[in-house]
Amino acid sequence: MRKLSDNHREILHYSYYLGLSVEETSSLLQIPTGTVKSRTYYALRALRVVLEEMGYVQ
Amino acid sequence: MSNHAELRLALGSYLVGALSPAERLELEVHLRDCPACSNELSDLSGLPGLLGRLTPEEAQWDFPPPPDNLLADLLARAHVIEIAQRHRLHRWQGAGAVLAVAAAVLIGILVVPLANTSPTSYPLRAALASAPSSGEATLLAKTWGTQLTLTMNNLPSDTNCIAVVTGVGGRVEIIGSWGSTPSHAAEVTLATDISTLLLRTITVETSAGKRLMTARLRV
Repeated sequence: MRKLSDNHREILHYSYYLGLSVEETSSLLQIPTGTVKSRTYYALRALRVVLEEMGYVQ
Repeated sequence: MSNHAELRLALGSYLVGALSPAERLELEVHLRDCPACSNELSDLSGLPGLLGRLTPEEAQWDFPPPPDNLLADLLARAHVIEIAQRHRLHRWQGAGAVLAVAAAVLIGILVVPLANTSPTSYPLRAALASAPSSGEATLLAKTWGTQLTLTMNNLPSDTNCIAVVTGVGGRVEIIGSWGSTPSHAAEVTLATDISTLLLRTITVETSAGKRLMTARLRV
C-alpha cells in the first residue's frame, strides 16, 4: 500500500474500507463526485499494477 | 444517462459498492453491451477482496475518521434514502419500455436464486489488533430480507455492542444491540429487510462506535 499515492490510499480508505458512498466521500473530501469515481478507479488500477510488479496477480 | 467513458470510470466505485442503486443499475445495463468494460471489471474484481485481507496496519488506513455528524447523518438518512429509491424505481417503471425490461431482467436475476439459498457463513474479522474479537456471520435469505446469526468470541466485557449492516449503494442500518456476557461470547439472531444479495458489510461495534470486527460479502 505504501507504493500507492496518498490520494489513492485516501479514496480507498473512505470508499472501500469505511464503506462511504460516492456522495459521502465527495462531501467529506470536498471533491466532485466524478473525481471520487475516477480516483477510485485509478486507485484500483494502481493497486493492480503494484500487485503485478510484486507477482501476486497476472 | 452517462457515456461509455464516464461509466468506465465508475467501475472502481461499483466494485467497492459505493454507487447509488440508480448508477449501479445503469452501469450493469452498460456492462451487458460493452465487452471492454466487462473485461476491465473482471481484471479489477479481485482487488477489493485482496484489500479486505490486509490488516489496517498493512493497508496503512491512517486517515482521519469522518466526523461523527457524517455517520449520524448517514444513519438518519438511511431510511429517507430507501424511500427515495423506491420512488425512483416507480418512476423508471413508467419511464420507458427499455429500462423497464432491463430492470425486470435484473430483478429476475436477483430474485430467482433466493428460493434455493441455504445458509452462508462469512468470517467476522477483527478491525484492530487491540480489539481481538472474532466470530462468524451466518446469513439466511428470507422472502422478507435476510436473517443473520452472529456468533462472536472475545467481546469486550464492559460495553454493549451493536451490529451495523451496509447495503449496496451505501445504505446503513443498525440491526441490533446486545449487552456484555461473562464469557465474552455471544450468539445473536438479527434481521434486516435488505436482500442477502444486496448486503455488503456486517460490522460489530461497541455502543460508543468503536469498530470491533467486520465481514465483507462478495466484493
